[in-house]
Amino acid sequence: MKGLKVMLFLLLVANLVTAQTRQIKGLVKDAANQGVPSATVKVKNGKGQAVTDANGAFSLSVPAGNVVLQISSIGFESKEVSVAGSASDVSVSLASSSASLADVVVTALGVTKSKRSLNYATQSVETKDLTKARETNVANSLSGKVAGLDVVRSSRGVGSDVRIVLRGDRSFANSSEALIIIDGVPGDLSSLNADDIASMNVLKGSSAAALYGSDASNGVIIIATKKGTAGKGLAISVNSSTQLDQPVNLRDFQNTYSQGSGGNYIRNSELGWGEKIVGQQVDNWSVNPADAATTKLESHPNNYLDFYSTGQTYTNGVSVTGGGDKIQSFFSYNNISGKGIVDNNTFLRHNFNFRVGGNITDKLSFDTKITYFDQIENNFVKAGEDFSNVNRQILRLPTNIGVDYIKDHYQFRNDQGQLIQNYWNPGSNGGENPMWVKYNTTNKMNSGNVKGLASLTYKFLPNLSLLVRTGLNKYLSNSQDRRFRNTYVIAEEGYFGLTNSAYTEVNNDFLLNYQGNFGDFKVNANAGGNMKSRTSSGLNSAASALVNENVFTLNNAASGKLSSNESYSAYKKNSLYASGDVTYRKYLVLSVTGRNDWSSALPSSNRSYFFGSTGLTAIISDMVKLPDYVSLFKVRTSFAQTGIDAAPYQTKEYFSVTPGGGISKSQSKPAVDLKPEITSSGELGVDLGFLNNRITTDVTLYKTNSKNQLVNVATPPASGYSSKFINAGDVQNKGIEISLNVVPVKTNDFSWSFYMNFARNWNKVVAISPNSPEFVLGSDGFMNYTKIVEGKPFGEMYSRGFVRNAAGKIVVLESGLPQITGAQNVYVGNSRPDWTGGFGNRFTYKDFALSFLFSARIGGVITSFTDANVIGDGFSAKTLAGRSGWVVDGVTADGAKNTVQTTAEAYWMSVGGRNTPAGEAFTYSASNVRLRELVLSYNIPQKKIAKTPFKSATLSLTGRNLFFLMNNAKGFDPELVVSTASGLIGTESFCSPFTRSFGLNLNLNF
Amino acid sequence: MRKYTNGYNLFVYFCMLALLSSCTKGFDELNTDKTKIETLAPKQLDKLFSSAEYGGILNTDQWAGGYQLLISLASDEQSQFFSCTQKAFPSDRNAMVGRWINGGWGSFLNGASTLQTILDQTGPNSPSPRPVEEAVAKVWKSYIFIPMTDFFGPLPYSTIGNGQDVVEYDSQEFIYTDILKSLGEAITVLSQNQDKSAFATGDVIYGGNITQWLKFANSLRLRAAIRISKVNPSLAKTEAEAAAAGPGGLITTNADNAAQKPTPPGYLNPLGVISEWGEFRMSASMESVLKGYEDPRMTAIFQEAANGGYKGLRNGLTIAQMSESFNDKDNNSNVVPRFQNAADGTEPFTIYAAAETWFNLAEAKLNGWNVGSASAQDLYEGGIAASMDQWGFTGAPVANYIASHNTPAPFEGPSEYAAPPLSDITVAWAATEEKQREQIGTQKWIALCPTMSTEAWAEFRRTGYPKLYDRINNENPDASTAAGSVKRLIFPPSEAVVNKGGYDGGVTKLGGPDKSSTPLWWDK
Repeated sequence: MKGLKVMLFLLLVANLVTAQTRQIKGLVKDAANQGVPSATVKVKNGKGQAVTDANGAFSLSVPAGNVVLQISSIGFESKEVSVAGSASDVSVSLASSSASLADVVVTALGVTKSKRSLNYATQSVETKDLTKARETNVANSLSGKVAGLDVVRSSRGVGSDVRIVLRGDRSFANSSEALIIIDGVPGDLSSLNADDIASMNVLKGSSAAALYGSDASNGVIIIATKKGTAGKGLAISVNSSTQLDQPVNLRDFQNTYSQGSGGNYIRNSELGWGEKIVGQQVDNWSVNPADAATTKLESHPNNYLDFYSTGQTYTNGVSVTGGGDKIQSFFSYNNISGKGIVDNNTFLRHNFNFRVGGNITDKLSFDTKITYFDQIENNFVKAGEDFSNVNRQILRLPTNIGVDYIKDHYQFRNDQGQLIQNYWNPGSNGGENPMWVKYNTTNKMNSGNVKGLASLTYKFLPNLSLLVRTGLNKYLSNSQDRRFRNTYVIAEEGYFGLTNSAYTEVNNDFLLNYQGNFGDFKVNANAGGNMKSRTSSGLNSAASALVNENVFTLNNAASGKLSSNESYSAYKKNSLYASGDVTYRKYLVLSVTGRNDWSSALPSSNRSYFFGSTGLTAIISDMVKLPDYVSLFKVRTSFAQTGIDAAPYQTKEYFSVTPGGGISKSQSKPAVDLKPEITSSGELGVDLGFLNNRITTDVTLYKTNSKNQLVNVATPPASGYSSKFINAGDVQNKGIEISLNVVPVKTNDFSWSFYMNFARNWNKVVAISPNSPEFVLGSDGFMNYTKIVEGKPFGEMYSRGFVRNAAGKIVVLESGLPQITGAQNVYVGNSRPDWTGGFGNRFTYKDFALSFLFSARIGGVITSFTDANVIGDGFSAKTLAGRSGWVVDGVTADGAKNTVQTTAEAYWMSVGGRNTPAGEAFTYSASNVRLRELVLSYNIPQKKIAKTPFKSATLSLTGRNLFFLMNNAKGFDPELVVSTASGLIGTESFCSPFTRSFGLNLNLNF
Repeated sequence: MRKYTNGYNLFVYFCMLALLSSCTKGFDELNTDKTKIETLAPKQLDKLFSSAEYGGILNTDQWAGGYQLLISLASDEQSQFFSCTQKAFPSDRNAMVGRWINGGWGSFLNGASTLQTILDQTGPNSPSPRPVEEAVAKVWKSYIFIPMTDFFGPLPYSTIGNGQDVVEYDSQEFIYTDILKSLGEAITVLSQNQDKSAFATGDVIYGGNITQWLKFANSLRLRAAIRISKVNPSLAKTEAEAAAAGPGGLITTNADNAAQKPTPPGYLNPLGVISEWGEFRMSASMESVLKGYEDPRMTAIFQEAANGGYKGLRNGLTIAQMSESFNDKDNNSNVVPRFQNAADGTEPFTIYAAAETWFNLAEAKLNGWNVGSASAQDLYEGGIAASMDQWGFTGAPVANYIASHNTPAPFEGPSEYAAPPLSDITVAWAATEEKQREQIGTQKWIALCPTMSTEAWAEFRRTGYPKLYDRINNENPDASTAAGSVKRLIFPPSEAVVNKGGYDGGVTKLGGPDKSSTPLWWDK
């Protein structure tokens, strides 16, 4: 805070210095020599400000002597020019900006608006660090950077799914995830090359959404990608980075007892309740007849980390920008290759991006873009209770069996030459040798994605233009799943699965834009339309037994063992919309939007639905004279209503065809009278800037209610349907978001800036439906139910738990073991966080820059199915206590203190295990605070590279997820969940270990 | 929407534009899933009947999920056909696992509501009534509801498929009475249409053969009558006598057995699916009886343990006990590989075998009912012969067996498991009625093994036969280690949530708390 005081002092001094003034005139032009209207011209470190007229001209009163003018305008790079004390006429040429749009928000269909005029909360993301502390999926880089943005990811190795939710979950059936808009059309982050990103803005509320349509009701992340800049000549940028992902063992295993039960070593046991390991000779677990009959018992404390290795990701990219007066282009190529922490999980991705834009005539301009993405991923790591999930098998490896040993001893050939799995318990329902799973249950996924964009803009008049655009997004993927013969239960005779899927989305848009000035009023009106069409199809074939051993082709399917399943869905939506902003004297802005959608997914009676928003922004700092240290005081409010349609094919009842031509009845009653879901939201915010915006803060209060939700409620199965779709419910989210950006120190050599953000969301399911006070949103299938319960927050988790008496004491059975509830009806907590926050700092000293970010996700619980298993099975250090005897602290059915002795083995096997675990015992607070990101970069000084062709060069060292300041979930990362499905947030199940990442990044510009 | 007047004006303007482009043309067509069927053609209804047949016995999919939850993990263990060797499963220690019961209930009702669709589409109120098909569907409904009401007691029966948010339960008394009535009606229709066929190849049991469906219906009528013989002797007598004299006759030879043919890959033999997982083995009670009688069926039904010998293990073992070598799956007998899908996956799954008819008639005869001229002894011995024949044993060995004075053998093993035989009854027909009833119960139990444990558990509860070993452990506060202490399964916990009204009525009709200790209506 010392810096602040210094600044305040300097400012006061500056104010005291009042001097003579003089008048200067000038012209602000763009690269094409056209005047730039509405540009702001300010005197640096002084008073006085002017705005250019329609021709770019301005006139300004400035102090005598040399002054520095700061000129800024939307869509242009800000510029400072020195004006000599003698000069009275100045001409400034502004370069259009693409890389730095911090003050500009690209809203619907590429309409650029000044952030100042917006009536809803937005937050821009610093894009510089996205290319340094790299994540294969850009979405992972957003944690902690935006107030109210919550990120969790699935455990799948490289290329995991990421779920981004703004302002809490609100929809039961639809996704609550934010919409991603890239250059005006819907896209996704997972295939985006971080190097191509010019700007990223997060529009949090749904008022921003009225113009994007229903998909945007959960907020929008708007990304503008780079394009060529007129008049900049050729620029080449090369980027190369290496990232290492180091697995970290947060778990505590026991290394004292062998596999077995009851304190005895049992060679075919899958449990860790065996005998004390003292180097004794025991029967060999190996079933390979060639192996010795006995083996020495030894523990292998490093098994877990020995199995994994350091993941490596190499990213290399080049981008070329060129711009003439007529045509500007941008090209980039990016290549990511690597391997995960399971070393046969490899990954290769190519991204091509080519964008050309320019002016055909004075009135007609065009913009086209093609991006192509191709990815091959081998052996992605599965999560959850999946027998081919290698994490699951390594976590269940007894300590007396060494990873180093099984590396070469996981299989052998029998007398008939067949490959046989060498597992201690052959034929096990659930157990497999981890190495067999790693090498003999493999998968491969190849995906390609092409996105094309073409738009034409015609300026009928300087203030009236029409944009016509087509965007195409096509995604194709092919995946294969191979399991060798003798993979127990899931592929006794081998298995080969082949899945092809395709997704196509076409968006055709038009947009009319009119801008006009009427005295003190400025009008900006847009009217447009969108035709969206989506088709997706999939073909999944599987040979569940193979005739010729381990030959993976569908032709090799045994008779009756080939099955196919295809899916197809088509969807169209047409929309018309309009929006208008009326600005009074640049400080009062009234915005109104309206949209009508016609969705094919709704029945004809409800197909058409209208929604809209209205908002008011007042820039108080421009309306009234405020102290000079207040650079911005803006109040904004908005109300919006958004209609959301549903997935296709939910309005009719069907009979399905099952493999082999059988016919089955639908178990879900269709929503014949399906209506759109309606989200109403209101927000009120204040944006403040102080000291020339060196301190800025935004505070937003919001409330949203999502009603008429499409709910798939459980019905009595005896009714003929186990569930039915109804329109009901009301989910309310209320919250506050605060962000603060401060630049305490800014000198030529040194600067320090920091940002903090905080978001607290209160979620409540106000109503579900008259007949259903609750329903199940999802389940891991074994331990938990995630439910929606009336009057409670979204995502309540229930599991089995201890039966307790009135005093809360655990009730024990005659055996001395606790009585566990039969049903999963014990509340264990809510799966969503209470608040999220981030604290980021950036220091620059000469050519060095250091930035780091702490992020916090506080509140909510996570349940660990992994713990239920590794503790139940006796592999966790937690199972060391009480092995020889344990009296459970509880009472008998008649209330007497329990005195019956049991053992840790009996206790944990009844409380944990796979099939009937008491999740209550394996639930932890999900609160965590971590050092999310650390970047140290060095701009190699110009003089050192003067003799090279480089214009600039930057070297960065980065770290991600370096350590936890707090993590209550001992043993795992609570943000790494089994699946990003809404009903499975809050469940950790055999996920990959926590990884800590280090990177080295080199950026060269020619 | 009044707030949006400005936008609304613009909207009206653009609506007109929209009308010009007729922008929603074809949306209805587009929003129809063409990979599915909206209205079933008759041949497709036949196919739906297959789903109802598989679903009715909980063979829901290639993993036989429902079958595992209610048959393998409940009646197979309670009838002591098998003992559990899967360490994570507590149900062999009498634990009521809510999630499993929820799942099994859902699977069954999936099948039952599919069947209800068929009854609706073939019944007198449908646009095209098909009385023969309806009669077959009625027989099938009777067949599938008997085991379910024997699990739970009251349950939704007449209300199935009502599409409502509350589905009332019927009492067990109502269900049995209605099943008998419904079978009587079906028998009348079927007997008049014996030359016809129903559901053709969609019928995976009899391939549409009405004569066989008629025999099946008569046999089920006898089964139901026997079940209620204590609680309603007069109705039982009437119905049993009607069944014995029924047109078309009873299933008395194995050629008429009801067995479902698998259709891989969707529907496999469920016992085959489960038995490949190594989760259960022959029970100690089964070993004691089969070994004591030197019963040839032992080697037909069970295979030698991986480490040699035909061995069973006690029910209700703790996890630690299951880990002992004596109880290890490799030291105990699984069912024979012929059931297993790894073999070829086409072994039919028997749901009714001729032997049962003989034993039911024998009991009816002991009750003094008029079910024909054959003596109880002849009927008992006929049942044994029919069962032997089913497994391929005929002639002298069978005759020797029937005449045998062997008695059940002691169960041998470590002291905590070893147990003397529970009975001294012989195979050879005994002198006293009580012993004869025990013989009938014991031989029927063997004859029902391995695929008809639902019937075996119900008959064990009704008669107390055969005598079964106590469980080694009990984890159910409403039960004990005593064999037979579990009288029913609790209602699925999910029902108390999704069908509260129905559930509450069900508990009332149960006549006791929703516990596993509350006996069923016929279990008096």
